[in-house]
Order: sequence, then C-alpha cells, then structure tokens
Amino acid sequence: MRRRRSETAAAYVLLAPALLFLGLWFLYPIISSFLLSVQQVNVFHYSQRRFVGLDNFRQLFSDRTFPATVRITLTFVLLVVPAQTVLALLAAILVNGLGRLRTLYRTVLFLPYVTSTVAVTAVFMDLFTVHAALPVLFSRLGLPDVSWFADVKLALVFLAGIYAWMNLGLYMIIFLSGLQTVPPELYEAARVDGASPARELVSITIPSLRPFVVFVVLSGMIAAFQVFDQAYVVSGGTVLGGPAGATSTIVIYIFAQAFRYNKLGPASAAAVVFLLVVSVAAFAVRRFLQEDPRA
Amino acid sequence: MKKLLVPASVVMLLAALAVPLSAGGTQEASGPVTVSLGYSGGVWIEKYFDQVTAGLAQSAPNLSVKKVVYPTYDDLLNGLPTQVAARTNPDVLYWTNEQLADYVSNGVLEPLDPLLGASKIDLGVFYRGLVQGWTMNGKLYGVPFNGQNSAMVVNLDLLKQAGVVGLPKTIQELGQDAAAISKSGATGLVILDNLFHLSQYVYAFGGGWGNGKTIATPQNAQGLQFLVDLFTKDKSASTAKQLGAAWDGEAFAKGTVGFSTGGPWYIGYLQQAGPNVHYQLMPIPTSRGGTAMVTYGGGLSVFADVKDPRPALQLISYLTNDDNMKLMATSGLKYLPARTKYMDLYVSMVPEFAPLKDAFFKGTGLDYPPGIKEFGDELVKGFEQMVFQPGSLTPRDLLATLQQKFGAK
Amino acid sequence: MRSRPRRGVGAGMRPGRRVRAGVRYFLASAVGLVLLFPLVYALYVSFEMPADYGRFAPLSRLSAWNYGQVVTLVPLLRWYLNTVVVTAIIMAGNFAVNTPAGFALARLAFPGRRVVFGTVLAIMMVPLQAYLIPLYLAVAGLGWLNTYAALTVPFLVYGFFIFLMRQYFLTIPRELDDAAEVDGVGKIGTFFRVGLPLSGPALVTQMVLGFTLTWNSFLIPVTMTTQKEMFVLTVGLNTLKSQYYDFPTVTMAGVILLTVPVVAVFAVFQRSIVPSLASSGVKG
Repeated sequence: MRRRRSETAAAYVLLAPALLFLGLWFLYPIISSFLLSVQQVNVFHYSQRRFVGLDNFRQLFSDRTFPATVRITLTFVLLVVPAQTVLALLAAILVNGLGRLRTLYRTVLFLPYVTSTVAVTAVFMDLFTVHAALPVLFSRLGLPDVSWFADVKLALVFLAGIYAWMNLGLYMIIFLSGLQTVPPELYEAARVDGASPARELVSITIPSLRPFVVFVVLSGMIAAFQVFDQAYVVSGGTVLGGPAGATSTIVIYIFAQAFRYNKLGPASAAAVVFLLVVSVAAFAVRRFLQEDPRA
Repeated sequence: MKKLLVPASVVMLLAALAVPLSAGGTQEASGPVTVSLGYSGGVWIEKYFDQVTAGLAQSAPNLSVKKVVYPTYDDLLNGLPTQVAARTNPDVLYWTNEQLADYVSNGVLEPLDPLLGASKIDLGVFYRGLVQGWTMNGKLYGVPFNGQNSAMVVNLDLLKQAGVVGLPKTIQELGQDAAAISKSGATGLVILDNLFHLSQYVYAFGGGWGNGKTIATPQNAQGLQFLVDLFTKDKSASTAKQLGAAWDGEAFAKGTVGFSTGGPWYIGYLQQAGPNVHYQLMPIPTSRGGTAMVTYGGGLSVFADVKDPRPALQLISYLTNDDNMKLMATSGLKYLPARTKYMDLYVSMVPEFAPLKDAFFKGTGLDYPPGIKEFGDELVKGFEQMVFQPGSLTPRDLLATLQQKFGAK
Repeated sequence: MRSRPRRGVGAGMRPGRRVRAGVRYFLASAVGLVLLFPLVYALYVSFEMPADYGRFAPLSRLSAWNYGQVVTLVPLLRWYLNTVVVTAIIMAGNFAVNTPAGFALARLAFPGRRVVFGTVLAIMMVPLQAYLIPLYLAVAGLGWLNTYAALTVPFLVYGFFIFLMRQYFLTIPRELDDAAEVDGVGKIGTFFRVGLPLSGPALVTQMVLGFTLTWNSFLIPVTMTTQKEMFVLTVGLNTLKSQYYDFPTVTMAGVILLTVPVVAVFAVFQRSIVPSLASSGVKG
C-alpha cells in the first residue's frame, strides 16, 4: 500500500511542471476557444459575446464548404501517413547500416525538415511549374504538363508530396534513435542461425520498434490532420484553399474563419469538430496497432 | 553530467520566469505624449517613417512616436482585430482603405471631420477620389497618405510580335489582342485571382459592387463572363499560379505575358526583376471605349478607443504635411503623394506613370460590400470553379448567391 | 560492452554481402539526391539576381547581391540573438519538463494515468490556430507582449515530446528499475539513476527537434511581437517583402541565412546519438 502511494506521489511530482504548463498555456486557451463555439462573437466587441447554443455548428454543416474540408483533410492524411511512415522506416534502416557514412546521410536526410516550410513550398512550386523539368517528366507518364499546385486534380497530391518530403527526416530520426534500442545480441543470434536480412527485419527490427512505429503513425497522423503552412503558401495571395477549394483543409478553414473573416464562433465550432474527428481517428489507429490501452 | 543538466535547466527556467526580458517596454515618457503608429510594408516604408519621425523633435516636440510593426500587410489585417479585442492596437494606423467598410461598420474607427480644423488638415489639397475612398456614410475615417490605382500593363514587344498595331481602345479589343498574343505562343493575359483584380474587369464593363447594393447586375455578369471566356474559350489567359508565379507581376516580369491588371507597383518591381521587358502602363479600357480607373491607397486612421485623439491628429497632420509628402516621391519609397500638387514631381521621378496621370484625377473609389474578405474569397472561389471546372457554375448564379449573402439589406 | 556489428563495406565479406552493400549505398544516394536537390536549388536561387529568377543564369551573373540586401536592410544580428535566446530557453525548459513527465507515464502506475496521457494526446490534436486568439488575450493581459516571456513561457512543454519520451522509456527493460529499487532509491531516484542516463538518444532527439521547431516557428512570434527589436528571424525576414511585392531571390537568401544554423546544430549534435547501454545493464 505504501509503495502504491509513494509511486503515485512520485508520478505527480515528475508530472507537476508539465501539468502546470499544459494547464495554463494549452488547456485554458483551448477551453476558452471551445466555449466560443457556442457563442456568437464579434472580435471587435469581444466582451459582448453571447450564448447561441448550437447555431455555429448548424452553420458549419449548412452548406458543403466545411464538410468538403473534412473530406479533403482525410484524403490528405491517407495519402501522407502510410507513405511517410514506411519511407521513414526504410530510410532509417538504410542509413543505420551505412557504417561510417551514416552521420553524413543522417544530416542530409534531416535537412528538408529543418528548412522553413515557406521556403520549401516556394521551391517546390518553382520545380513543379508548367513546362519545368518535373512536370514534363511526369507528363511522359500521362500526367498533364501544368503547374501542379494550380491544377484542381493535382494540387492535393502536390501538397501531400511536399509535406511527406519535409517530414520524412523527422520520422527517420525517431526511428533511428529507436533502432539504437535494439540489443545487438538479437542480430548476432539471428546471424548465427543463418537468418536473411529480410527475416531479421520482420522478426527482430520491426517488433522491437513497435513503440516507435506507434509513435510515428499516431503523431504523424495528428500532425498531418493539422497541415496548414504548406497549404497557406500554395494558395496564398488568392483565396486560401485554392485552386477552387482543392487544398482547403480543416485548419485552413479555421484560420480563414478566425483571422480573415473574424468569425470566431464558426472557427471554434470547426475546431471542436476537428478534435472529434482526430480523436476518433487516433482511437481507431491505436486499436488497430493494438497498443496496450493500459499503458 | 546528465545529473547537473536537470538542475541547471530548472535554474534557467526559474530565471526565465523571474526576469522576463523586455525591449522597448511600455513606459511612457514623462514629458512628451506618446502616440503609437502601426504600419507594415517592409523595409522601405520603415526607412521612410524613421526619417520622417526623426523630424518630429523639431516640429512637434511634445509628441513621441512608438512604432508598432507588422511584417507583412496580411499580418496587419490578420492581427488587428484580435489586438482591438485585447486593446493592444496602435493609436494611429497606416493602412489602405480596402478594408475600411468592415472597420467602420464595427465602430472601431474615430470619425475625423470634427478634428481636422484643430490640427489644420485641409482636405482640399488631396485628390478628391482618395478623400471619397476614406469617407463612409458622410464621415471621414482616414486622411489620405499616398495614392495607388489600377491600370493595365502591356508588354509592347509581344503586342507587336502578334501583329497588333496600337493599344486596345475597348476591353473587348483587349481580349482580341490577348488572343492574338496567345496564338503567337505567349500568354495573352495573366491575372492574380483575388477580389481586387477580378473587380477591375467588372468595372471595365460599367459594373461595380455598390457597397453591396449592386452585386447581381448584368454588367457584373458580363465582366466575369468576359474574363472566364478568356480562360475557357480563347485559352489566352492564365492565373499567376498557373504560370508558376506568386503574383501577376512576377509572371509579367518573365516577358511572356501580354496583358495584366496591375498598377504603379509594377514599376519598381520590373526595374529589378524584369529590366528587359518593354512595357507600358495604360488606364483600363471599358466596354464603351472609355477608361476605368480605381484610385485608392494608403491613409492614416485613428482608432476610436484612443483616450485623447488630438495628439494622434497632430501626428497625422505632421505626417501629411508638405515636406513629408514631397519626401515620399523623392526618397527610395517613390510612392505617389496624396497631395495633388506633387503629381508632376512624381511623374518626373517615375516617368512610367505618365500615361496614367490624367485618369488619376478622375478615378473612382473601391466599393466592396461589407464582409469584404469573405465576399472576396467566395467570389474568387466561384471564379476558380468557373475556370477550372467549366460548366459547373455561371456568373449569373454566382452573383445571385453573393447578392443574397452579402447584399446590402 | 560489445560494439555493434559493422554492416558496411569491408574486407572479408562474402560477394553477396558486397552487392547488398553496394545496392544500399546506391539507394541511399538516390534518396539523398531527391532530398538534397530542392535545397541546392534554393541555395542557387539565393545567388541569382532578381532579373534572372526563373531561369538558369550563367555563373558570371551570380552574386551575393541578395545577401547584401538582407544584411544591410535589416537588423539581422539582433534577430539572430532573439532567436537563439528564445530557442535556448525553450529547449532547456522542454528538457526539464517533458522528460520526467514521459518517464512517469511510461513507468509508474498511478490513478489517472490514462486520463493524463489522453489529455496530452488530446492537446496535441488541437491546432494552434484554434486557440491562438484566447492565448494572445491571456498573454496580452499579463503584459507580456514584446517580451521574451511571451515567446518562451507558453512553450516550455510540448505534448509531442512527452509522447516521444514515454515511448522511449517504454523500451527500457523493467529489470533495471527493479535493480534500482533494490538499492533503495524511490521512484524519483529511479528516474535520475536509471531513466535519465539511459535516455540519451531520445533526449538528443528531443533537443534537436525542439530546436528546429522553435527556430522555424512563425505564428506565435508574429502574433506576440510588434517591435522590430523583438522579432525572431522568421518574422523579421518577412519584412523584406514590401507591401506590393517581394523579390523571391532575396527571400531565398533570407531562407538560407535562416537554415544554416539549424543544419549546423544538427550536424554537430547528431553524433551524440549513442548506442544504448541497456543490453550491458542487463548482463552486468
């Protein structure tokens, strides 16, 4: 009994600073913002807001604009998360076995992540402009020679591509630090048994990396749902979420409502719906990956 | 080593919490009255304001200026409403009158008419169109500072190559010239599809938004249809993004575009980015053979929550005085001063502006409906739909929806 | 402690092994090329004159004009200083706050553990854009605008990093905990004696990522600062755009100036990702 209590006390001591900061700087503004979702707010007269029940939510679903953003965001997540997880894992394993050149490759692979999103998006827009080398290359495969980010069908794919390209390095680093936790003896034993590299991968590496796979998939998914920077640059200057709404993600919608139209009520309502969508997705993924819910 | 790291970090943390470093701070000088001036627009406007406010010490020693800087104009527009909510907005704001209607309808700007006499500001020295642009419901909400206008930018070489002689006299002729240019391999016309540029084509057909009263009109539908046809029928037009440019000027600077609705801001840009492009500015031709020019521009407004507006007006009076306006044209800024007497000086510094000079005096103001940004975004989205998914929407239906949502009741 | 078996090209390998290694290097190079090319392009553009933007200019027309613009027009050094200070404080704070939290969530059993972890995850799921305005009102109310406090205090904790540390601590064998307990240290002691020393790779990961996230962050600094002297690099470099246009070449030069320190930091620190000593701990 005493051990239990001291364990609880110890836990809360270790957690205290985190809980304090999370409470003050995240929970408090988040709850304030969620309260706004059932109010009518005029930012210019913020103190005069009033309760309007579910009006904002009704407005969200009154036309196809917001539901379309949910669909587009889900498509984006499905494009991005599997790709970046698998590629990051393969890249980490690749780099891990490179011996001396490992450090060099690690830097190279991490570079996209450390470059500012705005710059990366701008560069990729240059590279995928009509008549540039890359669209011409892809046109050999049957795709039209257009500026990808200005094409209604290709804009979301373009977005997914840049996003995955940028974040690959991040998840690769995480897998790399995870690979360090795999005890070398396991590989030694496997080699003595004559196992092939593929067998090692499946039987040793991936199971040992399980916590990291869960982390990369879950946090990668949560981050992908929140994509904003790249979409903002792609459609900046005209209307956010262009062309013709093709890159209109939920967070772009929230931003436009809150900061461009000063409609805090619908913005917060959209944020509440967003949280629900992501929570459901996260729960489903955790179940699917069979992470111990007691952990 | 690791063991020391945690306590060390905790100490750093406590230090950070205990001593928030601040630069500038909010201490009021004991003598002079501090007026905060908010602006954006980058390093050149920064240099100009630095230079100009340095002269305050002589002309108005009781005033001191605190600068509130927004990195880009978008940051200004995005951040200002929240600042008003938090009462951290500046006293005086240098901005353009495109968003004026929304701020006035929310009652956050101070009407300036009763204060002009005391600060010796004479509206008669400014362009009438600009003063009108800053007036709403009969009250003045900003003192004009610099002028901007819409214009058509023409690539003369491409025009010649396409076999066109002379500049188009009507907007329809312009469409034909653009088609000719695109047949010869270049892009006929480029547009950055936002509210401002789309509106130019609406104005060219004698239409307008009427501050919400005249959204769904045949002229507006004609204007939009004309533009959409350039995309879908003639295939002579492209959006800036389609050409891989962040905005229309960037595409124009590559020398592969015939026409673009631009303005004087092209001049400085093309000097650096497109020195070999042989271009000319001209007023936008209308469907009836006349010209349409929208004049708008920067101005200085005062927020209603200022305790005493008189020092703010004093600052505005200083900023818009003769000498400082003259400096606007002669310094690196090269803006068109809002005082009419400096038009000739400006044209001598910026000769490319000459073809626009006469039309500027007759320019009309912007007439966006309230809910400007949302209106603009919906208009643009509808336009993109008409262009990228042809047949899914007509200008008339789009305008009807917009009238319903944003029309003046 | 046994060193990791070297998998690189080396003498005495069977031919199949050498081919595999060769393929490995080839693939790695291809991947590296794809990842490097856009950045090399950005570097190239930063040396182009604005008139040559969008084309490939001959070497003779390349110059450092853009960098000259950036350096002479804006208070770059002050912005570097601000960014460094803010980043350092946030990194230190995150280390102190997130690591113990992750350990507690991974290792200790206590009532409310699921709730706490769920809350951490839930907070990660709310985008900043949704609550930026209430956060701004709170910070403004404290009078912290245009201070380092506004830029650092709200970010001394990141749910992402708590999650990361938790996952990492889950991989440390429980036997080590038990060994420490036998020695009579409490659970907190276990954290300092066992968890912390073994968390090397994840700690470095947290530091490097924290550095990157903060260094490149824009939305918070642009909202919380309106005085030029308090801008961080990302915000300040945006002032290079004038109201009506900007030169992409100058913007690229700014981007390079922004990116080089991060790359340098990463290059230096990534060597510190050392192999886990967990195995030897179990054996010994």
